[in-house]
Amino acid sequence: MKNILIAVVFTFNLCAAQQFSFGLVSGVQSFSGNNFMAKTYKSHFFSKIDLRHSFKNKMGVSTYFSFALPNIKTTEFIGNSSSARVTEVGVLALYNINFSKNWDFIPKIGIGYQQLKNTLDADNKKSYFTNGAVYNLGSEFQYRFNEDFSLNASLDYGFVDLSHVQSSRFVDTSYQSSNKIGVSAGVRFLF
Amino acid sequence: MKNYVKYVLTLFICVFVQCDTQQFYGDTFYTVEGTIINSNDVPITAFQLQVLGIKLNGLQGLFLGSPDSQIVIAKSATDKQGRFRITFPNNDGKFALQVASRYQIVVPAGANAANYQGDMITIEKTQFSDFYRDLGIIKVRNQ
Repeated sequence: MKNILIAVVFTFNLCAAQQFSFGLVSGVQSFSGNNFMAKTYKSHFFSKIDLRHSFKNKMGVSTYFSFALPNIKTTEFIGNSSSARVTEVGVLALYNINFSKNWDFIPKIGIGYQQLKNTLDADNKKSYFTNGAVYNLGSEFQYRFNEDFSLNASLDYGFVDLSHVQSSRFVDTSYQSSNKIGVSAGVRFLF
Repeated sequence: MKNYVKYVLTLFICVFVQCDTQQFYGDTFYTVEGTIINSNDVPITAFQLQVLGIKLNGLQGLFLGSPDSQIVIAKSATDKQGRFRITFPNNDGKFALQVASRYQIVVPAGANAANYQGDMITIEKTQFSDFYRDLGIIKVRNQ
């Protein structure tokens, strides 16, 4: 019983919140590979907000929401869509590596849920959604100006799993997955 | 009795509104292919065509069976060999391939004439195999 109590206290101590922070990020994102998303949507700007919870043991978790309005290169694979919207929510686990007084390197891994909305007929507000899971890997450099504010830059990769989407095998473009690569910069408010 | 009438009326309106709305789904994509030729059997290049999503509309759908909700869901043009391939999302109705209204699609021998209506070929989902349908050679002539 005593050992369990020690283990609980030790774990709590390790995981006790060291810091909360709120981040605003903007960047450029692109889909790649032989898939309908890469062939359909141009590279585009995206915006992201996140809430981060850092622990004493340098581990952390983050929840995020990102939003983008990519322009359409071709309607060959998606029907007569005139506009699109990509939103994503998810969680990330991260590890904070301080390599100088103000600089941090933060590798990230996580999972998200992506919703792709295509608008077929703007006049009649006819849209359809293609949803899937996103498995994310990322790296972030952070510069802390003081205890309240930091700047950061990130390079992120995401594998978009659309394996439930059905399409013809006669189309040599995949509808089952996509890859997304993003570079971004942002600010973080620590409290 | 008044409440009963109110409930029936509400249900009726709900059914009407529901039938009136054509829905599209991005979890399934269909593909149609074919070749467009003219009345001299020559492939037509850059021939414009489109796919419509069709759903029986409201009361007409319930009682008269008239397809009224038609939305253009894909557009394309033929290549140098007169071939086309169009991919489009699923809907809760059926599809139709439509050519420019100045053309009429010739009903091929042995085909079900009910699927051919002037400038349009209706395509039921049961006619797709593996979400794919080859419409073969489609002959058109000026109206």
